[in-house]
Amino acid sequence: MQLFFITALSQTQSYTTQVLDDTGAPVPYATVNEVGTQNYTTTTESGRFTLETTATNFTIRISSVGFETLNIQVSNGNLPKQITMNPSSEELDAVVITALGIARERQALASSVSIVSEEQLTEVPMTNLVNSLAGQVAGVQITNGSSGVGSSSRIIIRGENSLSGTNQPLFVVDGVPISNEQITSDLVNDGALQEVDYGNGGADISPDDIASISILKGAGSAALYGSRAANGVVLITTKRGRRQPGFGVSTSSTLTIETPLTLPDYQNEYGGGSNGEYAFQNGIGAGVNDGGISSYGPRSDQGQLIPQFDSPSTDINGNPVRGGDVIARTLPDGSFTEITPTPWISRPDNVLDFFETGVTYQNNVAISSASENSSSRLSYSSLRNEGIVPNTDFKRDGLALSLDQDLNDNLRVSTFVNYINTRSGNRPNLGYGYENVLYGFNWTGRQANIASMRDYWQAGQEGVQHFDINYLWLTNPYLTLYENTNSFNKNRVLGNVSATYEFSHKLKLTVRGGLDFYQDNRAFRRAKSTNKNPEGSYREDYVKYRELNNDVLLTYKDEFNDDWEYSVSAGANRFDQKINYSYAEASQLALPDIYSLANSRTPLKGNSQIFDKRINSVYTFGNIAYKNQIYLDATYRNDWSSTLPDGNNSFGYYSAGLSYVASNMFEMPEAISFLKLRLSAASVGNDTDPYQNTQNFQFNQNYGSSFRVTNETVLKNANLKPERLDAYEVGLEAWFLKSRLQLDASAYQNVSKDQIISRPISSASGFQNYNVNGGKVRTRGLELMLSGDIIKGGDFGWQSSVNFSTFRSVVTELPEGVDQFVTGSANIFNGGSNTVFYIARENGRVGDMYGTGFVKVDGETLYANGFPVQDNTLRLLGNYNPDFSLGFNNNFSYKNISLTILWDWRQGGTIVSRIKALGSTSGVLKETLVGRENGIVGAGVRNAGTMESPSYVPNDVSVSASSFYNNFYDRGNEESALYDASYLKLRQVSIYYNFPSALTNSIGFTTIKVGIVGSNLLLFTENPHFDPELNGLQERNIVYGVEDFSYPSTRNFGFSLKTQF
Amino acid sequence: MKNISLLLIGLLCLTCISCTNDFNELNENPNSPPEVDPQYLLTNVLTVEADANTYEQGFLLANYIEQFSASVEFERIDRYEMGSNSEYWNLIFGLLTDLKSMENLPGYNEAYGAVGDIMKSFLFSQLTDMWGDVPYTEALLALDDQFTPKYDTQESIYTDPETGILAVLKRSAETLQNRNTSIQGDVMFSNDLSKWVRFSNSLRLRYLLRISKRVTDFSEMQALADSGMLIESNDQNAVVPYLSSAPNQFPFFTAALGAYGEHRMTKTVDSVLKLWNDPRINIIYKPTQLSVTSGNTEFKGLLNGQNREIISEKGINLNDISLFGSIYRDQPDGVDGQYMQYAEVQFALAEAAASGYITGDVKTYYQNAITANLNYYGAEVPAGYFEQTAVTLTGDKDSDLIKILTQKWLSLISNGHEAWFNIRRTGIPALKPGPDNLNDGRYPVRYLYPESEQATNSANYQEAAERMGGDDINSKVWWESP
Repeated sequence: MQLFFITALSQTQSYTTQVLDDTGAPVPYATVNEVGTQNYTTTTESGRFTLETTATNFTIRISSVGFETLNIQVSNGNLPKQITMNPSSEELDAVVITALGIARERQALASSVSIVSEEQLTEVPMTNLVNSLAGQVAGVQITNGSSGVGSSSRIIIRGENSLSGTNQPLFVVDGVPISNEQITSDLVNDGALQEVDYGNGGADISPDDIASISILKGAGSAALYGSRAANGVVLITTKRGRRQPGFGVSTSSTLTIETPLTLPDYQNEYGGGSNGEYAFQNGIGAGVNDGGISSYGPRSDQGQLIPQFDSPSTDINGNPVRGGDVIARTLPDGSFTEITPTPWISRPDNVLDFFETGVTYQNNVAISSASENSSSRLSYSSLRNEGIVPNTDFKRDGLALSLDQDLNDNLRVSTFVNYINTRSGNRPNLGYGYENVLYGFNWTGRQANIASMRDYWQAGQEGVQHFDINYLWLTNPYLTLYENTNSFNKNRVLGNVSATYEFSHKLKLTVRGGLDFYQDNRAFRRAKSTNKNPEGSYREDYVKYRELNNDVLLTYKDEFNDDWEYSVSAGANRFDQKINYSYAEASQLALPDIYSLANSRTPLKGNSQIFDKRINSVYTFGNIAYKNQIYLDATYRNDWSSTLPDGNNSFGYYSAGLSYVASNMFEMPEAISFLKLRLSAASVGNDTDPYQNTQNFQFNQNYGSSFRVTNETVLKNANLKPERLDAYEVGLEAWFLKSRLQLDASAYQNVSKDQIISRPISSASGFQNYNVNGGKVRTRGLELMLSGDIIKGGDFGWQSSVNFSTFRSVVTELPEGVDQFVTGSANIFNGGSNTVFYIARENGRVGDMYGTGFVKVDGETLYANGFPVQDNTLRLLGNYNPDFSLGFNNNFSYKNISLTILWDWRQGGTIVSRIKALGSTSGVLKETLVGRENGIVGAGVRNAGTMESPSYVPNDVSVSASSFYNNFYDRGNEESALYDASYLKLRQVSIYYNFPSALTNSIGFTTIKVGIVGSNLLLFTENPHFDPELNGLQERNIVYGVEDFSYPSTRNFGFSLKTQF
Repeated sequence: MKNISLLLIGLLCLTCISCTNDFNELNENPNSPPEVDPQYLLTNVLTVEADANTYEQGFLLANYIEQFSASVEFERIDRYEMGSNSEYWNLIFGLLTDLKSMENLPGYNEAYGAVGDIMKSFLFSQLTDMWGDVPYTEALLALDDQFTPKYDTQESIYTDPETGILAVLKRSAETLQNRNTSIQGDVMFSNDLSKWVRFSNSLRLRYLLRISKRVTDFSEMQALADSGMLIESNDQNAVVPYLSSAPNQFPFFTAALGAYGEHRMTKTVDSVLKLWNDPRINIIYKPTQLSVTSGNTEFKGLLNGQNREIISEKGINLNDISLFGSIYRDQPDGVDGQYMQYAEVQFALAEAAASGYITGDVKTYYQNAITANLNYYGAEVPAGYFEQTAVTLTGDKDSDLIKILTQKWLSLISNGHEAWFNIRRTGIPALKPGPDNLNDGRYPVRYLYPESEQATNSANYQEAAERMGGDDINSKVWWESP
């Protein structure tokens, strides 16, 4: 490369050089000024700049946010080949990656963008990158799936705008969207195959490959990405090759162990049975209450000996077997051999001991190098997890390669390719039903020695009949986990290629192509003799996903004069998405233990579907800046979506923003070092899913050889039009005391209208839902971020930050003629009651949950015969959204030691608990001990008069505890099982020690860092039974505000070692 | 600048290509058809309803209310926690939509129309008999933007001279008798339209009897009895068999053991079948496990409506209580999906004759009915069966009606809620609510309206609920009120 060249045409000379930071990475967009003149330029993305001047002896000043301003003397035209800038100790603002991967000075931003740095992402290594954001960013709400590592985490930015959509933000890697969807298999709560969580797509990316994540919260900053960005954007910038002395290698290793954080608070005084009696004989009722599954049986630890399922017995030939080996114990006349009674003792830890210690290894090794014209980085990440649920695991291997190459002075090509394989031998089942072991424990007598079920086949019945405490309702939990596996293997390639051609330093063209492709093969095995699959079954699911994004973007940048700079860009995008989903199932196996579709006793069940979608777009945007004081942005985009009907399929997006840096315009008081005001407004559109415009018939399985079709339950609509979201935001950034105290405040309003909702209609009209535009939801919110360098300068440092967010989404309008709109429901099982309805009512909040409860007389529960009287009328149970959330992050450092502590507080919200309802019904929960000896008189009134002339007196009828709890927590009502979902969590703690560079250098390393890390360490919440942060999965949807026998969340501890050499 | 212009033009071209692309094609659903032959919808309606009426409705729900089965632990309906049965409500309206959508398909004809109307009448009668006033004349009009149909009174649903079920059935039978078109996909009668005429007439007889407390003119009933066009043998039964292979097996064949254990023989049916020395006991139920073990087989029923604590307190050994018979559990195709049997027609005529609605020989009808039902189960009438005091008719109207209706009740096991409708109408057999019932000792007479109606059709729901005397399981429907 030429260090500089002198053009022959004029006396003006061009000086070109590259500006790097202290790590060798380029410093883009630094301002370069020939001191004493109005001659300004900026560095390019690769840190290069060309300054044209007629002078040969001069000084240039290079300034960039986050760096100390540098003055370079140039004499006789001798400019150094590279210039290194030192980071500013004041940590002035950094460059922020914004929409379309465009880096901008933070002070130029007109809408709220939050940055999560590499450090924040990897300080406490998370297995799902979405979880790294929990508590870190104001306005971002994270909830987890409950099946451990590999579960899907849901991220909601600034509340829910849409009544029917997933409200998930768009995930973008290096400017190209990828899929964060989870394509679930259509499994059914309490069905023969219950739900399985296969994780959210974004989680496939290893946090070690991420340089930073920008959260574009407002619709304004997202307007350029089109409809899918209406709920915000999670913009991931991958790590690139870095200039190192020679060849750079970095490693990161973490070993984490996981233990259950929460378990239901079980009682340990009464074992299984009813009415204080129990004796096992055959587990279906031949003994005393041994067909029942509640824990209202004999008192434990009273020295009683009782025949139990694991008590010794003999088979009919006199060989020793267990009581539960019923088949071997059955004599020809149908009677059984004797069981030797064993002590009836409490086993307080029988469930806790069932869980194992989870272990997760995460390793990453990356090599990177850069030369003058190119840089590359190659990284391998691996994750190995054994979950706390026995025989469940999750594995991930990722190979990431990034290349950046300057083909010549004008043309630069970049690529990022990431191959990811995720797989598991078994993912646990979720939901209400025996396939979820937590369901089993709810209905297993508290005295049960669960560990004795580990040998899970009955004597002489291997592969044919399992061994259990109860053969009517339960399935041995070890059998469920070791035989009834749900495996998957997903291969994914995502990546992008881009070429940027700089016609001049003013005009530049970028062409970019992105691909996200994966195939996911899932297999479900069910052994014979299990509850819903007495004959066993085998099913294979196949998901193929492909998304292509192609972009061109032309950018022109210039200045009117010394004060006014501007840039304009125009681009186009094509988005193509194709999803194939198919499955085949042998629902009854012919032979045991052979899992093949060919081993089917009945005709195979199956289906295959294709979903195609395309969006074409053009967009343009421009910004104009006055000095460093005022920045004005405007964008326009138009989309054409294949999912909307002809004539309605074109829709535009507009946004405008203003950033006003008052501190650069006026002299501020000493205390204020920076003051900026932001304003932005945007209006964005949204489309829908494929095939929502025309009515089709759907296939039903054959009756014999007769073919059957039926109508869809959704009434389609040929006149759908795009949804619209209008967003306004104001923001204030103020830094005080030489930037040691920084405040960032945003207030916003999003109004979402013409929503495409699949509105439930009276099924008497012929359909259950109708696709229609309508409804208006207004979300108003406030976000505050306050951070301070409380102590700095000496050996000891303390940085602290608090982020606070609150929002309220209100339904301000519903489609004409609709007074309420059921947006979804969460039931305990199909056909059962205990359904929570999510209902939007005018002036109600999004997230309001409705259910049934008890008849009230002047606010008091009405009792009849000692039991509460149920009322079928739907009433408001609560809202699943929090009132506010607050993250509190502290960073302490002393010499080479750093300590990070992150607290996460969520206040408000209601959660409906199945564990509470059904654990009370079954009598396993601690609170059901109340009244066992003396009965219970429910708090409320009873009618002492007649039906016609009632006279209410306080309820004074005592009933047995088991009857009372069975009625009070009955499935027919939801009111009795509500909890406040508020919690305070010690989210993350890490202590790192940085080895002194003298030491590390002497053994050939640049840095060595070891640490102890922990996450999810403490939980303070109202309910003693479960972690309210977890969400449920029902059929194909994540459900909120309902705890559905979630697995315990885990407390994680680990060791981390990071090196660079 | 030339390069730039070129590029800009390129960009514009790309854009244009994008815009002119035919999106409609891309958004055509490749996974399912917009149009099919009507026969596939007919097959769907006939099989799905037969299954639902027999298994989910008849076996799993109504058998408890009708006291053919008693629950030991979980089935709250045995204690009269009725709920809304909304799944069936939704299913019926879905099937009605299938029938309605046949009308716009190529291949549709008059015969499909008449058969479809018979099925519609059957389905709407299910709705009104289970819930009372339901959407009828304004139902199924979503395609005409009617999303909140009003609820018609039960009286008009049955008796409106134009739109009422009775009028529609009559018209359909006439249409089919004068037919010159044919249907396919009829897995119930193998496309034999004369059997549809018989089914239609028999249904009309069923519904005329249903509303018999509310009418005084029984000439239609007499005409039907004399028509020779009712179901006249078990060969003409309106049933759709379960098959040996999935997915058309009787679902109980693969149900969880616990679900099987939840359905016990009841004290009620135990006493009746033993009183009659009835061979059906061997087919419908199994001897208790305990009695099999001891080598002295015995059937034993359980009292309905007891909670598990009471059962435990009483020291009832569940191994000494009968379960349902092999045809329900051990065979995938041991039973049929039910609409209507020959026996029911004969019982109806017997009741009508005994009540004086029609003329005819009560005893013949009665014995034909019992014989038909026994034969249906593959059993013969034992010698001396009809001569037993508990069986034989004496000519005393009240006691004869009790015998007729009790026999009829037994013949309707698993046939949806038909036996319940009869009990509600006649009070026979007089079933006693179980000790732990949650309805203040009252026998429930309807299901609650689905919660979804409160949410989606609330004004009409409110109006109907008020008209019925409250959305309550004790609000009597029109035909039941005296």
